[in-house]
Amino acid sequence: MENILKSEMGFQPTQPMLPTLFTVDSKIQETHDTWSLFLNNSNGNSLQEFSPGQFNMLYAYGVGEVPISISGNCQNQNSLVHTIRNVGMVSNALCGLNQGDQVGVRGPFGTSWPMEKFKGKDVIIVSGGIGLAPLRPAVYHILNNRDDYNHVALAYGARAPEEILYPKQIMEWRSHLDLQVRVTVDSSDQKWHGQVGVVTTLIPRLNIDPDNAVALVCGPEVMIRFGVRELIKYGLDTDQIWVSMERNMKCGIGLCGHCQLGPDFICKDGAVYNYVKAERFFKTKEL
Amino acid sequence: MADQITQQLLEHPIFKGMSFSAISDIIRCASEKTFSRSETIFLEGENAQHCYLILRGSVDLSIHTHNRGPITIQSLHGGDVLGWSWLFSPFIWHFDAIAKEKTNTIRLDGQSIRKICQEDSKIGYELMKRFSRVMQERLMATRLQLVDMYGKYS
Repeated sequence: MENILKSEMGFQPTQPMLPTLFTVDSKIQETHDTWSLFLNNSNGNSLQEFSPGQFNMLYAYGVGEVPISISGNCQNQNSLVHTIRNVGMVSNALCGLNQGDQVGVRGPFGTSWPMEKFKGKDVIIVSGGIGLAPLRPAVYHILNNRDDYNHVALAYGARAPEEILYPKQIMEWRSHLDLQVRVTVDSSDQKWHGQVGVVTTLIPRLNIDPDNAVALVCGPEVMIRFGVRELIKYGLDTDQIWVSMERNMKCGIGLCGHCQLGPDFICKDGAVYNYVKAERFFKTKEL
Repeated sequence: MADQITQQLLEHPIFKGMSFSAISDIIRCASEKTFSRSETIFLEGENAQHCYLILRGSVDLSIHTHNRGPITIQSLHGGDVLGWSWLFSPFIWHFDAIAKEKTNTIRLDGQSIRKICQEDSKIGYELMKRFSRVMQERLMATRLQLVDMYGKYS
């Protein structure tokens, strides 16, 4: 019971407004504008526990704080991993950090992919662009507990071959005989020999039983909308689909209202939603 | 051979659910055609004389650009329809199609299919609905590509 509760709600910090000092252990450039930071707790304490799909508030000292999904393995206690796309002032500062630099971390916050509920199911993971980052812990979780899940398929789309996130990891996942991995790019020159087309075109080709499947979807909201439509066409009901929403989280505990979406605070009530609940958000323009 | 083509046509998604009698005329316009890896199926500007129903394999649709060379805009696979320029005047291909691997297709003669549709409005309407569905799906995919949904501001 405790595990199930943890799976749905995710872990919560004991002192949510107090940043913990972390040190950059290493960084990897993933694409031209995206880096992964591997962080260690500066005071030597063990790392925080988190559930797949949760996020932390990362504080670049003197610049500001932004919500970043945790993209590492829940079972890896060596370092806390965040994949950050350089799109603004704070993310630019975070991407510019180097080994030994310090960063403030608050969290983990938000709901998580309910992996306990998915046991015994076929699992479809649909992601696009940097949307793979919040889903990577779910893939790790499935691989760590492979017997708990039936057929598993990952459909991933990127703008171009050079913008594919975690390419080495995707190749490693492809080597698993019990994991369907499909990758597509929106357009490409002749150096790319893989699939070209939007990510939704991958869904009809998956070998999954829609009656016994769940889907986890994360990416730009346009992609989520069209991805969900394709999944429904594939045979899934809306209650079989989970999505991760993105808004401008600030406090992380549902107090400040920055991430309010209708009656919800995404930082607390999300970011992971069952689509039955999230559907109304997608249908309301300018929300 | 004819029986095999009939079966393949009836099983292909574009004709799925149609009866043998409904497609009996179409069968007469169909032949098997296999392309080897990297073989050109058609090129932009050539006469669009055929429609290809892909059975197995994959095909890249690309457009040639002066500075970047060929840009692949879509990959097609078994179960997909390749080409509809044979349906509309001036019957000219708008893109290049290259087999990415050994690809088995059923090739339909465009002019004959148009004639069947012209003479039998029932089958003509049914085929138009089915090809329009494919076009609608491709248009949706193209619009998503246009949105540049993975861009910084999406």
